[in-house]
Amino acid sequence: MSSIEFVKLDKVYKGLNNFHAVKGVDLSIKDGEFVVFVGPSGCGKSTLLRMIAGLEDISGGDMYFGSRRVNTLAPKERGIGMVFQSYALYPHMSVYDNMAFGLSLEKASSQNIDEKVREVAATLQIEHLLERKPKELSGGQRQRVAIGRAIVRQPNVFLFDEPLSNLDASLRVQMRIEIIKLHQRLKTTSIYVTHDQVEAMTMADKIVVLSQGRIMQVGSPLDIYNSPANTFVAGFMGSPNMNFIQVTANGSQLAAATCDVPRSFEVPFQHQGAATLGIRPEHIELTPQPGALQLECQVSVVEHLGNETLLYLNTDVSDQPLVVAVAGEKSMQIGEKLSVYLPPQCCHLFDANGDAIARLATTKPN
Amino acid sequence: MDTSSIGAQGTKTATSPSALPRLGASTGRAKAELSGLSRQRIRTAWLFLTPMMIGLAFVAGWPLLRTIYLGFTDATLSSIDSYSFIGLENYLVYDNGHWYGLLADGLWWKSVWNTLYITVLSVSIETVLGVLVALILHAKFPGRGLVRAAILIPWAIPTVVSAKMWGWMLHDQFGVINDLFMTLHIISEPIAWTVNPDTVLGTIVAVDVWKTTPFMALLTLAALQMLPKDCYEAARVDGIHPLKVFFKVTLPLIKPALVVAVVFRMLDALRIFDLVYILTSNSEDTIVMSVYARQALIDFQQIGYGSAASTLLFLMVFGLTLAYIFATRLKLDGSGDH
Repeated sequence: MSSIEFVKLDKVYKGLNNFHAVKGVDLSIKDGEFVVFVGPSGCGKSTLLRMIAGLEDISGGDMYFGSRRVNTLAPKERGIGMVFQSYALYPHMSVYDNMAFGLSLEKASSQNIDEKVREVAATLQIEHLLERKPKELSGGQRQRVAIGRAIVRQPNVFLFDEPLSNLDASLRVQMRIEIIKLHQRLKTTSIYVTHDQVEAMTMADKIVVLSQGRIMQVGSPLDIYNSPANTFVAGFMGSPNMNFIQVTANGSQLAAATCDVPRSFEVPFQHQGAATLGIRPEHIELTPQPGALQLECQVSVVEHLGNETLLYLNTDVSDQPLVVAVAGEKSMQIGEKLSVYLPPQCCHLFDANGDAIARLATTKPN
Repeated sequence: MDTSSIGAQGTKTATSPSALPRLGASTGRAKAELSGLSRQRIRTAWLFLTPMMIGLAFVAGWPLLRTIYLGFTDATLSSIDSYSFIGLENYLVYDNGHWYGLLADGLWWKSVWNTLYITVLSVSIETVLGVLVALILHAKFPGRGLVRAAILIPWAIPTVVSAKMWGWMLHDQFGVINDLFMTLHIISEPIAWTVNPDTVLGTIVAVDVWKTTPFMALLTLAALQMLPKDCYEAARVDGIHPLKVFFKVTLPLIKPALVVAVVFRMLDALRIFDLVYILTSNSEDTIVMSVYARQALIDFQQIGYGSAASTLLFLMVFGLTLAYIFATRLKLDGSGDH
C-alpha cells in the first residue's frame, strides 16, 4: 500500500525536437485510491504511468511513494504491478508459468508460489486455463492472466495502461466491473490510464484529465462532469460533447456573439466581455422553462439511440449545430422548426482563456 | 445440410413434376463445377512448378543420380566411356584375405572424423558467438548501423580470398599472427599453424568461425527484432534479472530461428571444401570428405571410387540433417513454434 506524490514532474524526450511530454505535473494520490488518467492520445497519460513504473526516466521534479523518493529507483524496487494494453504475456510460457515467473525470484518456496498462483487464478476464474499457452486464450482470458500476473506479486501500486482497449464492447464492460470489484477487495492504490471517458467516469475515485502534458483538472467523476474547470475538460468529458456558444457578457447578462439580433438572458455568473457559454445536450429542454433562453432551431440530423434521441439543430447563435439529447424516442423530421430552452442554472461559463467562471449562487445543475 | 437439399435448392425454379432425376443431374453439375475450379487451380500450380522442376531435374537430379550410379562402376577419367558395373566393390569388397573399398580405408574414416570435428566445433562456437554479437548489435548505441554493416564483412568476402588471406596471416615465418603472439609473449617460437598436426584443425575451425559468425549473428538479430518488446518491460517491472530474462524469455523465443540457422550452417560445414583445401591443400591431417572425394576424382582419376565417396558424403549430410530436424522437432512447413 502506498500513497504517491508528484512534485513538478517533467518528462522531455531528448532528440531533434526535444518533445516535452509531461510538463510540471503536481498530483497527490491517496493510499488505496483508484485514480484514472484520461485524455486524448498524445496527452502524456501513458508517459506519466511509465514514469511511475520506472520504465521512463524522470527529467525533472520529484516522485514520492509514501515518504520515499523513487526518482532513481529501478522498477522492481518500487513494488508495482503493471497491466499492459497488449497484455505482454510471455508467449512460450503456460498461464501458470506466466504468473509464477515473477515470483520465483523472490525466494518464495515452490509450494508457496503454487498456493499464491492458484489462489489468484481462482479469484480471476482462470483455474482451468493454467496449463494453456497465451495463444490458446481469448482476448478477455489473456487480460485476466495479465491482471493475475500483476496481482500475484501483491504490489503496493497497480498500474493499468489502457488494459481494456483491445477487447470488444461487452467484454470491456464486464472486465471493467471485475477490475472495480477487485480494487474494492484488495484496496491497493491503482492508477488506470484510458482514453475512454466512460471507463474514467465509472471506475475512478479520482479522475485526472490531461492534455498536452498538463493536468487540466483533478476531481471526482461528478465534480468533473458538473463543474469542468475549463473548455477542454467540458468538451472532453461527457457524451455527446457539451455545446459551446460564443457570447458577450455584461455582468450576469449574456448576449450571443454571432447572433444578428442580440438577445440577452440572465445567468448566475458575473463577467465582462467575451465568454463561452457551455451547456450539455442532456440539459437542453424542449418545453418552456422559467428564465431560460429560448432558441429557434431547425432540425438537421436525428440520431435514434433507442434510450435517447439526439437532435442536431441549426441555430443562429453558433456555426456548430446545437446537440440536444432527448430521453426516449422522439420522431422529428429533417428541416422541422422548433424552439429549445437553455435553463440558466445548467449553463457553464468560460472566460476568453477557456477557464471556468465561478458560479454565483449555490444553485447546482440538476 | 446434405447434398440432396443443396440439389433441391438448385432445382427450386424447376416446375417439372419429375423432380427426382433432375435433382440428381443438378448435384452432379454442382460437383463438376466445383472440381472444374479446383482442376483449374491444380493446372495453374503445375504451370508454375514445371519449369523449376525441369531445371532442378537437370542441374540437381541428373548429376545426383549419375553420381550414385557411377559409384557402382569402375569408371576412370581415362576410360570414361568404357566402364563396367561392379556392384558394391567401391564401398567394400573382400579379396585375397583383405578388405578393400571406401569403408575399409582408414583415410576415408579420418576424413569423416575431421569433417564431423570441424562441423560440431565450428557450428557450436559460431552459434554462441553469433548470439552474443547479435545481442550487442540489438542494443542501442551510437554508430550501430555502421557496426552492423562492418560485422558482415567476413561473410561477404569469398572464402577463397579469406582463406588465402588467413593463410598469409598464419604463415610460420612472415605471418602477422605469429608476430603478434611473439610480441605479446604468448608463444616463444613461431608456430606453423596450418602444418602442425596439433594446431591445424583448430586453425581451420577458428577461420571458419571468423567467417560464419556474421551469418549466425544476422539471423539471430532478425529473430531478436521480432521479439515482443512489452514482455521485456513486463519483466523489468517484475524485477527479473536480465540473465534470467535471457535464458527464460529471449532464448526460448529465438530458438526456432536459431535451429534453422544451425541447419544452414551444418549443411555448409559438412561439405566444407575451399577453406580446408586452400589452407592445407591435400594434407592428410586435415582431410575432409569433400577433399577426399576430389582427390579420388581428380588426382587419382578414379571416377567410380570418387563417386562412391561423394555418394557417402551426400548420405551423411542427408542423414545428419534429418536426424537434427527430428531431434529439434523443427517444423519446416512454417506452422509456428514448437
